[in-house]
Amino acid sequence: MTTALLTMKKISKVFETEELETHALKDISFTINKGDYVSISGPSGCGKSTLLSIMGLLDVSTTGEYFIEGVNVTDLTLDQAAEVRNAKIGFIFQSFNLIDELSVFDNVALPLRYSSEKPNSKKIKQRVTQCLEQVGLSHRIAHKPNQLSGGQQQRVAIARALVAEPAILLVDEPTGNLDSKSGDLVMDVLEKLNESGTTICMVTHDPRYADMAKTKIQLLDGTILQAPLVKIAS
Amino acid sequence: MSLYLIKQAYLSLKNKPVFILGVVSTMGITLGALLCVLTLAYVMLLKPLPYPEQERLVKVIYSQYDDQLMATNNTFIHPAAIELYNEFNKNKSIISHTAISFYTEEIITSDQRQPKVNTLYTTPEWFNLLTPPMAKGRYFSQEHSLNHYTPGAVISFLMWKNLFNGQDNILNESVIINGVSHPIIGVTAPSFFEPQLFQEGRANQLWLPWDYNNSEYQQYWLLPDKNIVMFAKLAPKTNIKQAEQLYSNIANDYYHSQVSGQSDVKHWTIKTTFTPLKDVFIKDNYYVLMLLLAGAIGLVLIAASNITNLFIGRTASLHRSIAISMAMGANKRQINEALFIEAVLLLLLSTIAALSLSELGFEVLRLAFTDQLPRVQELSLHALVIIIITLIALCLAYFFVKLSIKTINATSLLQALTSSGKGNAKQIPRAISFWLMCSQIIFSVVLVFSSGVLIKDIVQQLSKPLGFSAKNIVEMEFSVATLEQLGWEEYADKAKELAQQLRLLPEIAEVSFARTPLNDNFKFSVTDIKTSKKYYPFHRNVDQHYLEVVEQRILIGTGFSEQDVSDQTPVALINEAFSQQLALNHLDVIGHKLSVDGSLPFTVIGVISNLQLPTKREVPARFYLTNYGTATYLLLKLKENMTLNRAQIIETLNDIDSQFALTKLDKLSDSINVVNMKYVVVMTTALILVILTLVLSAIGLYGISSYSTRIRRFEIGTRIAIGAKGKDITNMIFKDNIAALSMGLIISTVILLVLYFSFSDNLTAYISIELLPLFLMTLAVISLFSMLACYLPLRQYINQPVIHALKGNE
Repeated sequence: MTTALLTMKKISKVFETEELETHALKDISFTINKGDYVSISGPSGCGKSTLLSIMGLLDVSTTGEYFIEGVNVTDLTLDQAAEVRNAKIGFIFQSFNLIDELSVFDNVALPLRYSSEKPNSKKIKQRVTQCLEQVGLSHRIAHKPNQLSGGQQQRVAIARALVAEPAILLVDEPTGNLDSKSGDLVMDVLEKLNESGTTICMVTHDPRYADMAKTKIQLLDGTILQAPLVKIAS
Repeated sequence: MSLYLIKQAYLSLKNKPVFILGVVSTMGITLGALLCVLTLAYVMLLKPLPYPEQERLVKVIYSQYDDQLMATNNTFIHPAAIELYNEFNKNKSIISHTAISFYTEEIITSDQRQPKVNTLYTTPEWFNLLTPPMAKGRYFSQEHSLNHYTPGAVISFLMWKNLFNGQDNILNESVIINGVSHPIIGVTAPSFFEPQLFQEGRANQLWLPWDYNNSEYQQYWLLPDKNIVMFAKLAPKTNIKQAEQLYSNIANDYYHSQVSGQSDVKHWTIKTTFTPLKDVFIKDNYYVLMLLLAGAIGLVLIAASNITNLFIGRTASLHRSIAISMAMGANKRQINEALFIEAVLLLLLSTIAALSLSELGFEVLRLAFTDQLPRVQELSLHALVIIIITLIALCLAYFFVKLSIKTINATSLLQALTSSGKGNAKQIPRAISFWLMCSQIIFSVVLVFSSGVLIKDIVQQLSKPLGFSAKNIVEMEFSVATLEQLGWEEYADKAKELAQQLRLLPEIAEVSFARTPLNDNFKFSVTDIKTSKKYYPFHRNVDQHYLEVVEQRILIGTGFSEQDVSDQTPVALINEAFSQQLALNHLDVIGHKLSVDGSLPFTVIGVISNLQLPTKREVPARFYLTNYGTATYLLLKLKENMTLNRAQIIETLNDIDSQFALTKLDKLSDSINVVNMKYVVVMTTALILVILTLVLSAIGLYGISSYSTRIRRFEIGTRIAIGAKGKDITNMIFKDNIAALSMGLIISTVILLVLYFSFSDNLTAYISIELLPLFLMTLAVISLFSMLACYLPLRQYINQPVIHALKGNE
């Protein structure tokens, strides 16, 4: 039986300037179930990143409703949204967004430090080590990000995304800044994670990687062009 | 510096008006302040005095030392001054010229308005030594020398314009002073700056021959005459020390030959010293000058710290174009050169702004410090100061560029060219950000606390109870407008009649023959008959109405009675301070017998409250004896809400005697305000410094924090994206800045301690444990500013959806 993890209903996003009104997303509706591996693709400027931002509560929609695990998260305060992100969502950014001053360990531990559960040091260490092992980087725990290759940095970012055991990983162009070999390695990690039950939603413009997803959403001019395998929310 | 690079710098800056405005206004104002203070320092310390052979001009100081070699005063005795003047003139190989002068104010009775003008009675050498430029006529010559009694007057340009409406035939006019008609022989030019040897800010309007001075102390060897000033020109190759020794011996011998009958001063010593005129001006004003200089340098340092931050921000905004230039083959030196030229252009613009503002600054200094500092009227731009300011500007330009360049990482810049640009913002090195913030805090704490100490001290001084009431009191003085005086006995009854007439005026509540309570003029040697111990209290002569008029309290005993005054009973009043010197208990001093300069003993009949004179920190011992119940000076106590006008008093004086001329009619409260003005000016300056410091440091701290937050926005965005709340981010930023804040507070505390221990002799009067709250408050205010400066730039990231922080463009 499939359980709806994330549901978007008629989500629209309009960017307004003094002279211009841009409809980045128009009436987007879909559901992602637990264990899904969804790719969102489309040409540049079609709204992929905007959609991912709204899904990740990094941005708010202009209209529509958004549910995570059945809870309406459309109108959360900024702090409530942060709490939901911390507990339910793991982010992987194109440019890794690791913090240069922190070691690999501290980068990965960051979500736990912001967690409302306030785990103790022992638990943090245990969890961080586990995640780094999962991405094959436990031997780099004390390094600084700038001492790692691009692929390794992205794997640290994956470990960081996993550390708080989120309900879903939101991945934005994970291979955009990597060479093909490192990119493949990162995609392998993601695939294994999905196989072990992690729900993933990934934005990519690389059709090869988009094809690796079980569900594909194609965007064009802010609307879903093709979503044959996506259950449209009613 | 090629023309091409200058043009490129101009084009690059052209589109950054806010940046240009920020740099030029901040540096323009602060460099302008520094330029004004440096000019003042130049005028006071380096600029030659505008008189011929000024390096040989000296002020003659005549000092009396008691038998314990303590200086009792540095004031001439009238007959001793004349004697010394004659001695100097005997041997021109040591002192080539000497001028003796008597400073006073005189009423021009030939003018119906009876104006009172600053007057200098002097010998012709005064003019020979200073060679004032003349607008009309000539100055004194041989005929106006000592004991020649040739009338003549030189007037100032201002007096000519104001009192004589600049009339052409001024040299046909004369002025009548004290019954003597003095033909006007010359008018000084407006460009003449006279040396202010008597009082800062005093400009004479009338010069008369020495012979006509009306000093009350012409025959007194025991009373100093504070209005006499002597200055001289040393002969070439004169050894100052030897000359001082020689004339000290002469003055000492002559003094003792005149006071031989006075046992109290038998062992006193007279010394004459020659102080170069320039040193006279600097001596008491060095502290104020250093204070102004420290303030101006402090402001420039704070501004420099702010501008460093702007330059670093500017360099960061140029990263892409720098990277492109490097990709095209530009080396580091060429990049530095381009940035340096931009900085030089901006700092030169700031220097021009500073020069343009200087005249305004000079005017402010003239207005604020004319009565406090010497030679402020001579302030004008000088090449040396302009060169120094330009060099400082160039050094600052170099410093700004040097620090900005440290933020450029060539490798990462070139890498950035090949990436998409998302999330590639580099931070300014943490160390630079740390020290920028730290320096802001150090300068601010040191300047704000130092100014705060000064302000607190002045407020304390100004709010000290005076020990008397100045409310509704008017000081009045008159003179007998003739040299043909018949002795005061002839006028004493008329003075008493005057007092009676004044009491009849509906505006006046009471009249006392007494001088203003604001001045301590004479110290006498007083011996306690019981213990034979000597004291040196200040002396005042008052009548029986004085205590009532000024509302000075009697603590123990009684005041003077009418009979005490009329019979000249040998009784005395002493103040608390003197009483404490005489005995532990005020009660014990009643009945004490005191001998003044070996006179018949006076009996202490009362102890009265201390007078705390404005600008004086200590309350000296004072004793009061009866006067004769008449004098040319009075204190008038007015009834509530009443005022007196000058015409009314002149009329009353004329009714009594047509030769009585009013010389003074001032509210006592106005006199107090004049005395306090120096404090008020210094306090206002300090307050302006505090405000400027706080504004500049607030802008600086905000700028540093805002910039460092802006370039950390991806990090902040990432943290929020993975679950950090607003307060987590705020705490993080506070924690990051707490080290700089703490370091700044620690270093500033150390600097203040070093300053205190280095200048403890000068600062002891200002520093006490009571300053701890002020110090803590300063730290709290600066810390609050720092925290606000950290928080405010954060708001845009923590109060908006996090995507704004994560996006490249905001």
